[in-house]
Amino acid sequence: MRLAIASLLLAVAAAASSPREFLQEYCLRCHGEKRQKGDRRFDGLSGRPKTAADLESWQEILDQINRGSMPPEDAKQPSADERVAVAKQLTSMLQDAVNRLAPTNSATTLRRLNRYEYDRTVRDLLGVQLLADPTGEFPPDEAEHNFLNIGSSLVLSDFLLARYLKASDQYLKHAVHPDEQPKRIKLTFKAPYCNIGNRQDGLDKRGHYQHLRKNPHDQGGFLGISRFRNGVPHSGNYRIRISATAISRNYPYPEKRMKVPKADPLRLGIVATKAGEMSDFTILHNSDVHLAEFELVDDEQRWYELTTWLDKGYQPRLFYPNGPLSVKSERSGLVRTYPEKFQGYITNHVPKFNIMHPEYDPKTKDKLIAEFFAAQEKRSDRDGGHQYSITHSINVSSAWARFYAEYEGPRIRVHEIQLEGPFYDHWPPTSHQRLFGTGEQTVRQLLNVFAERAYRRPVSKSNVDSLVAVYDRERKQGLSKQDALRVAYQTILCSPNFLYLHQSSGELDQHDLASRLSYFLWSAPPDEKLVAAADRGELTTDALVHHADRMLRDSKSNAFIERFAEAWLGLGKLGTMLPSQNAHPEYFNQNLEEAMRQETHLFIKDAIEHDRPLEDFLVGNHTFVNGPLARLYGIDGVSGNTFQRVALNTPKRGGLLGMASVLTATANGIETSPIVRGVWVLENILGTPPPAPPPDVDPIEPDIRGAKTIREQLAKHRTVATCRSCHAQIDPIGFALESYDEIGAFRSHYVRRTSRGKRALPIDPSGELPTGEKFRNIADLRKLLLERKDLFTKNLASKLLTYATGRMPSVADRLETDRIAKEHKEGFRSLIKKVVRSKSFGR
Amino acid sequence: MRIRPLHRRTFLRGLGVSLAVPLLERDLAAKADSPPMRMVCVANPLGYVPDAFFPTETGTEFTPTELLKPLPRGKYTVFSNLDHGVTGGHSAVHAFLSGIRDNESAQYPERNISMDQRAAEHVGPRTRFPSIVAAVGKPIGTIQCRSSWTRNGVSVPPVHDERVLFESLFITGSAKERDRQREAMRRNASVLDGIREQARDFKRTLGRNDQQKLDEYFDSVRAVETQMQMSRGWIDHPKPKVDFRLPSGPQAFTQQMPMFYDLIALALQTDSTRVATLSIPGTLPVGDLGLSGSYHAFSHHGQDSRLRGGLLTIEKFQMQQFARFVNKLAAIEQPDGQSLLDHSMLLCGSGMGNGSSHSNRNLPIILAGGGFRHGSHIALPGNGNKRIPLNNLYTTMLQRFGVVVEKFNTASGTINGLEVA
Repeated sequence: MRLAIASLLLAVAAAASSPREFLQEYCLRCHGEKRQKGDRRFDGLSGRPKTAADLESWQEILDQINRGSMPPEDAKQPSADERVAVAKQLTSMLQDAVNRLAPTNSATTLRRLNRYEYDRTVRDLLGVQLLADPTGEFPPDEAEHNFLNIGSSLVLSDFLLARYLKASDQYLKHAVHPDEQPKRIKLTFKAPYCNIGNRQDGLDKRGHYQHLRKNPHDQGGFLGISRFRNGVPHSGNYRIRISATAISRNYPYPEKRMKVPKADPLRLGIVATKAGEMSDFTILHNSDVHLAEFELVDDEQRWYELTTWLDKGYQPRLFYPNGPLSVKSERSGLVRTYPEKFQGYITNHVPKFNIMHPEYDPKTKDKLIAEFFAAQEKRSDRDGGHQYSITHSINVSSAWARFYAEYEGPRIRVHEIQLEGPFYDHWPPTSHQRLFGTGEQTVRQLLNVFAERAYRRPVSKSNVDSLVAVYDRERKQGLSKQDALRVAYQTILCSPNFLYLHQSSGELDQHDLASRLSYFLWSAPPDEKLVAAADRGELTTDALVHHADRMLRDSKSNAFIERFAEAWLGLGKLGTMLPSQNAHPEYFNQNLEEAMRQETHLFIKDAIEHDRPLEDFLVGNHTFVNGPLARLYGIDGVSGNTFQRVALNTPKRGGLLGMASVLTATANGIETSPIVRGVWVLENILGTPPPAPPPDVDPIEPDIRGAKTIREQLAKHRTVATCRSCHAQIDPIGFALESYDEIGAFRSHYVRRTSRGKRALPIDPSGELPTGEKFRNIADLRKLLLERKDLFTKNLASKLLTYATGRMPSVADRLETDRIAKEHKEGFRSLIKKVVRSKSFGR
Repeated sequence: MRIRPLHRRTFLRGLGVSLAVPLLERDLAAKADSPPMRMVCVANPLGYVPDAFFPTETGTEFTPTELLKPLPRGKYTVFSNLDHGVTGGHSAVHAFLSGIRDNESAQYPERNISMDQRAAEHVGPRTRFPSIVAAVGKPIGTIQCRSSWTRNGVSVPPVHDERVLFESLFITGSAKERDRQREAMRRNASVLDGIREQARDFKRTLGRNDQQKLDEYFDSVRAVETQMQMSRGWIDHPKPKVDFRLPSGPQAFTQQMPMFYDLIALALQTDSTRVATLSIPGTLPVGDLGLSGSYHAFSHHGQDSRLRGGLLTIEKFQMQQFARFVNKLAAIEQPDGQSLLDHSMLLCGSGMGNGSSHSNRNLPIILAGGGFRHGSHIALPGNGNKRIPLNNLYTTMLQRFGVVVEKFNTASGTINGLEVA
């Protein structure tokens, strides 16, 4: 069949000019002997490519012809028929060359596990539960086009190896448990749990309750347990119970002031933290592990409970994630606006010369202050007492306590904390059993089983011999049986067989295939079923697809959704450039960042589950939101933190380009750039990245003093010939996306607060693509992108294959994904399966 | 803190592993007569406001700009028109000390090794720490502190906790702790031995390309072994006692930054290291400087006077602290009668030329100390093809440090106009 098509193509080709002739006619004037624009020279290219470099060049030429982006508009243009004919010829020529060159052009690159995969793999292997992250000191993995799993970029250095030695020891230490099962304890803690210094809440009542009243970013944002500085005595499961009440959800001040939406129930969060590293004032700590959040019932005391693993030495800490960012800084405004509510505070602590006092008068202020100092001096002369500053009386702890007693903002009242445990499903725990067996196995057997699981393939006898030798050597050094085994296990966890995904050159063997599939969909080692199939040699293409289906249904495939979204959409950038707290408090106390990520993950998950059409990524008419995200989007009727599917009947949202995750990741937290977003669409939606700007071009320096929008500044840019050819593609798309601000909210104007007050400039989201198609706004642009669905499909297939294989696509890979995309009519899940089925997946 | 070993090849060629400890003692004895050269690099991720940094006049008669004012006149040189010719805004800042972006490093024989790590290799086992790589507080996100790079193209994560830095430098572990360290090292050595056997089978089944990739692994094994040899020599060597007390509890940025400088000064003075790099995070808490907002937001000032003013407050603070460090080293006497500053090259600058436009051109560069003749503003050619790579200055510095190098990374030679006093 393939032969038949090929000869048919040849017949067509005979009528048109050959690729070489096409090159001569349209390309060599700029990319030949005399000039090499963009550093490209094609005059020596053979019509029968012999090297990988030749292939790459032809592939690039084919891309340009397909996209219609070359020759540039001011050069001689081929007719549409000529383009189609030469593209067909080139495609078959490349396919032919790939087949011919395949044996010398081995596809695989050995790749080590990245940090994320390493952690998941060790946990899976040991069956160990731990809160601590032994990979915390690893150097960050180097990304290649947002992909963190590309073999050629994942370097192994002496530095990393030293970290592997240390981390493997830490995991193993956590996997080992004492001989005796630890006794269960039950602890009850009563208020005050934590002394938060001079910011005590006047409503706190010793023995009864203590309050949380603000977001964890601020001092006093956490309730740890001061008397529990050693944390839990043993690692294990603990039941944590908290008795709490939500107070004043409907607080009497405007929402605008407190920046806490009254629609959302108060939330109580629990993190676990290394107890020994904390003081009463510690806010966020790098050992924090988020355990749970509860939505609290208003004005009713309830018990909230969870059972969770705690490492030895950890303790739970409570926080109020959707509380006000800071109450301190609101004090002056509140007291001045509501003097009747703060009478006690004013009478006892606020002097008349302070602006918070109702009788404050700027005319008499100075006189009163002078009197204040005079009185102090007199007193000081008399009995040598201390002199206080004019703000002393409003800031002593009793003043703050009184202020908070009269403050009626939202707060969480915590009545009691209970902790009970440790509980175990069985004793010894799984991880301990995996390492030391049940007592019936020999050392050789234990090591053999462990090594096979760790190496994800059968292990030779000589290999096990050498592990036993490590064990024997350590025993001779005087180590106990357990300790000697640990050294042998550490050897396994640091050996290349474990750290690298083994990849036989050429076609992958059965076990390599099993690993490729499981690291693709789970970022974790293959499970028993997959290994068993590989052992029996049953992993045919059909069987692989069958397993893929099964594995996509498993919750472990969340790893794929999250990591692939990061690699494809560059969502790893989310949270790396935070917006300002003043401009976007909701980003912080409504946890918008996590909500944005969630939306995209749920959308992808849903697309997999229901095999949704790929069009949904471009123009989808549904999405997933929780309360905070719905508010950002201007969608009514959703509150609380739980996500729900909503139909979109607004042209402002729909598909990836309406998602706050994407819009925030393509801004820098402070301002938006049409260039960055335009390039993002070309790279990640259409798969047609523009070349890098020439090195000697200075970036545009924004000037917000004049009435200039970025659009006006860029217009100049596009009149320069060297900039035009790329910026004509980039900028228009970016202009349409200017309708979204730096955290993805829709806007019609740029509003900037400058020293001269607010300034608003209207946004013009219209534009024209280089192909001449005009659009008025983002909704129009989406439709134009939909017309380019073939490019989107090709790109998505290519991104999937890149992620699955851990290598940047070769020409062979590109041909394979182009073929898949061309005939693809079904949804996203089907596309994933087609990638698994492809030849490139198995090599 | 990052403890960099000497690169395997250099080390084996030059000294031989078994010589590590004897050399150490010999070196300690030799140190008394001629103090060694040191190098400190200070980097911020967002640059300095150009017109508040670069003087308008060149030569020795320049008027110090707002940002240069805190520095002791005559003790530093300021350069203009130096950069690496790389682009990418925030994503190119990490090339500050190397001149090469990480994603373009594959084509260079020494990848994108940074100047400080090149110098650290030269020091090798002669000090307890070949280099100190530190950051004032924990950096978050892409505006990371990635100033130091090894010859494997790996960024060296900085120590960001002053307590950890202090303890590794000056707190000698108990005998029990040292026994534990020795035992851990012995086990690690045992693990590394075991690994070789494991790897043999593995290697046999790989294709040629993949075998090369695996060589990376074997290189690392040998390097870690060498590194352990070196550290073993230092375990029983007591750490220097210093008169320095670390305050307890969390510190404001305004206290933290001088503390890092003080610890680095002590580390140099006690010859615990000769190379240090200090990065300033782009997420530093500006509230500690009395501002409201974020460092990054201020840097996007777009010429707005309020934002620009805030940015200058942050930059001035940084400059005052650097000036304090320069003065501090100038006041420490060395055995040869000169000051510690005369024996320390202090580089202060950024991989960002202009934060507001995200330009990586015309980087702000100050050099103090190191026994050079200072006191001028050296303006290099600004014209496109006559521009001088910043790496030329680094080559000069490395040569002064004692490294045999003709052109460091992308350098075309050394820098003109900077002479030894």
